[in-house]
Amino acid sequence: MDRSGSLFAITPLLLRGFGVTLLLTGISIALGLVFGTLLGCLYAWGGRLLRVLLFVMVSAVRGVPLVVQVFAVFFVLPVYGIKLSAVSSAAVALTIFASFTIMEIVRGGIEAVPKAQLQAALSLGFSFAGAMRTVVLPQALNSMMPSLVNQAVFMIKATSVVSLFGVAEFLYISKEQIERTLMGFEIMAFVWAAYTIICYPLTALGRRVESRLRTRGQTSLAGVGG
Amino acid sequence: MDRRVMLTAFGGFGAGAAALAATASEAVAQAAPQSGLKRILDRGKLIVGTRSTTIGFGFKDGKGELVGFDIDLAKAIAKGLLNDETKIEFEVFPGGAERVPALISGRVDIVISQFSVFESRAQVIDFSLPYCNSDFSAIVKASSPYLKHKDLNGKVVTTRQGDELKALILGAIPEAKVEMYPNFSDSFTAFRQGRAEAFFNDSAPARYIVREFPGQFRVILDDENRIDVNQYSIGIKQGEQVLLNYINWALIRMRLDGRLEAIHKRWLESTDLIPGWARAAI
Amino acid sequence: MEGYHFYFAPIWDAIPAIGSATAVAALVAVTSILLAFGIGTAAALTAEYGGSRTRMAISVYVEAMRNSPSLVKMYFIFLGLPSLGLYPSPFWSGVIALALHNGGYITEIVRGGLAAVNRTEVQAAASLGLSWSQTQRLIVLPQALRFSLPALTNVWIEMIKDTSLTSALAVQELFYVMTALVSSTLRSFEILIVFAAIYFAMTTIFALTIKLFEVRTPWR
Repeated sequence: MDRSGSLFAITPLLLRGFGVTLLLTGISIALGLVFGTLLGCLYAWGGRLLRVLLFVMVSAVRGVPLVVQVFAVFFVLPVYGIKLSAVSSAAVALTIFASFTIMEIVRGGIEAVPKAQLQAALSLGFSFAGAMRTVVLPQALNSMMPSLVNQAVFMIKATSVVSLFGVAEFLYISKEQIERTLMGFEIMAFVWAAYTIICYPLTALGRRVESRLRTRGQTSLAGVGG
Repeated sequence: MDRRVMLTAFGGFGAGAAALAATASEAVAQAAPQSGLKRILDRGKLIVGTRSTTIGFGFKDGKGELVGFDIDLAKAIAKGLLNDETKIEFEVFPGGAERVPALISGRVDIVISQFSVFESRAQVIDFSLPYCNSDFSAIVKASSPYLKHKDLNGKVVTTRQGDELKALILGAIPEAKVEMYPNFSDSFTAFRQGRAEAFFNDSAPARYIVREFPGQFRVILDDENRIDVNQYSIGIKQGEQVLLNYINWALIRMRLDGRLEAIHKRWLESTDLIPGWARAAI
Repeated sequence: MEGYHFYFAPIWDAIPAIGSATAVAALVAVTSILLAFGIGTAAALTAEYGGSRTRMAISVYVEAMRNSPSLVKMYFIFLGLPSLGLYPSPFWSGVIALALHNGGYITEIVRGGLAAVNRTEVQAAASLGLSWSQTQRLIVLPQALRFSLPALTNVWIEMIKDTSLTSALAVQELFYVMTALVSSTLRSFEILIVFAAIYFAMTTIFALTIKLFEVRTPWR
């Protein structure tokens, strides 16, 4: 076991771990946006049964800790014969979580758009999907923005949870290095600073978007979502 | 209004669980069995379950590469099976708890990870011939005054999470205060930081630790009070007789051509821990 | 594995362990929630009535907490402080980490609540002869907290769920016992259902209790 203990020496390893964190964040946000928007639209306009089903699922996702959901993906999927790598399982679990949280944001955004908008568009001859795409969603987007930005920050932090399952992301690698070098204080201070430096610009952006919304007289949905 | 909400949620929860269960039995029943050995050969890659938290056996070196006794053994088996030691994929578990489930679910072909045979495990998975002797030993700071196991009564000791391990320690040292951490690395770190007086691991990795940190640690040698003499074997899913036979023959081959001894020498710097069957005169 | 037969017997055997695990989780939750509330409210009041430099310091605290995961604080306290000669226990490392982390969120929320309290009420109280601290205690704070309650409830629910993270420090709470049980009994399905239900019950009961409290307390 070599004792190359300086922070400088272990940075390449930490960067590799950080790459995994970014990958997991990117996948969960991107797919979460896609699925979340779909689910949000389904919820806003779906039938009673669909809404109940979605309500049950989002209650489960929000009422149960994220680690338990990751655990479910890691340990229950293999029973169905689906054998994913650790990173893929983590990506699946994080995406599910993101999708349902974003679903709530999208649903709130859609419901904030006055129904009259949709009715007007339909009476002008738009198809339902067309009306949604060109009239409702763009307006909903404005009120959803701060929450979506907050959700992105939340996902960056949430990926740290998969370190408990051996996924070699940033926090896991740094913990490994602490075990090797015993530099707990230095390394954890570095990790704390790193996360803060990455997330702070996004948080500040979210706050700026929110205040801009408020000056335009629109209420935001900050508080919904992570 | 809220009562309805809660009822819906709980009802939905229950319904969902029932649906999961029903589909699970279906899915599993339809999975067709195939000889494990054939599956590996068809795939062209051996999937080995191991840990990165077992010092000396499966751990990350300074460059972040997975190395150790178990890793070398796994590569040797891949080489014999597929003619190429790189045709191997390691599923790395963060702790010992995942080894048995990973074998049962088929996530890995074999497990090579300081795997001792306990009766409870042997009931659900199969084990190969043993490849390394060990007993559960206490590592203490070289400067500490503990010479025998009973000296640790009343002291804080640490090892990885596991009911069987706690039982072993308390069986030999009834008054020990056992603090368990998720894996061996975590407990070793806690011990080194001063949270515990002794760190329990198997004697094989203990030898590796003493060698790697010269002068810092020593192992308590207490021949009258040895804790759990055991041996490591390769874990295989139950019912895979063909694969089990192959692994055993691969180990016998490795003993005959000296590869097993070479791995022992490389990581443990001795041949003391080679199991009896592999030492008997040919 | 031939077909999955549900087999809950090992779970019944483990009920004592599950019970104590729930108690530990509840203890972690309650302690950290109380601490976080104390830290957050104190910080909010300090920021609201302190000078600009105090406000800056509180902002630094809030941003340092909001922009990193709580696990990082847990590891920092548990693995980092020993380098300085301090050895916080797993329980306290987890609790203090959760309290500090969520204290940041609570600071922001309570500050929002304080800002929402009508300034004229404060002036009216002053004209009635109430001292500053009386105004704070009887008029401002209660209303600020009432405004903040929904957002605070969200934070508290997150905290209940985040007690599961302390398993990383080997605190013997629900999630820790959950993984231990799965490895010893291999009944991942049954265990998942039971433990998910326990967590779900905890968060739902908590949310409903707060709602009940909101409804029954005679706000003006």
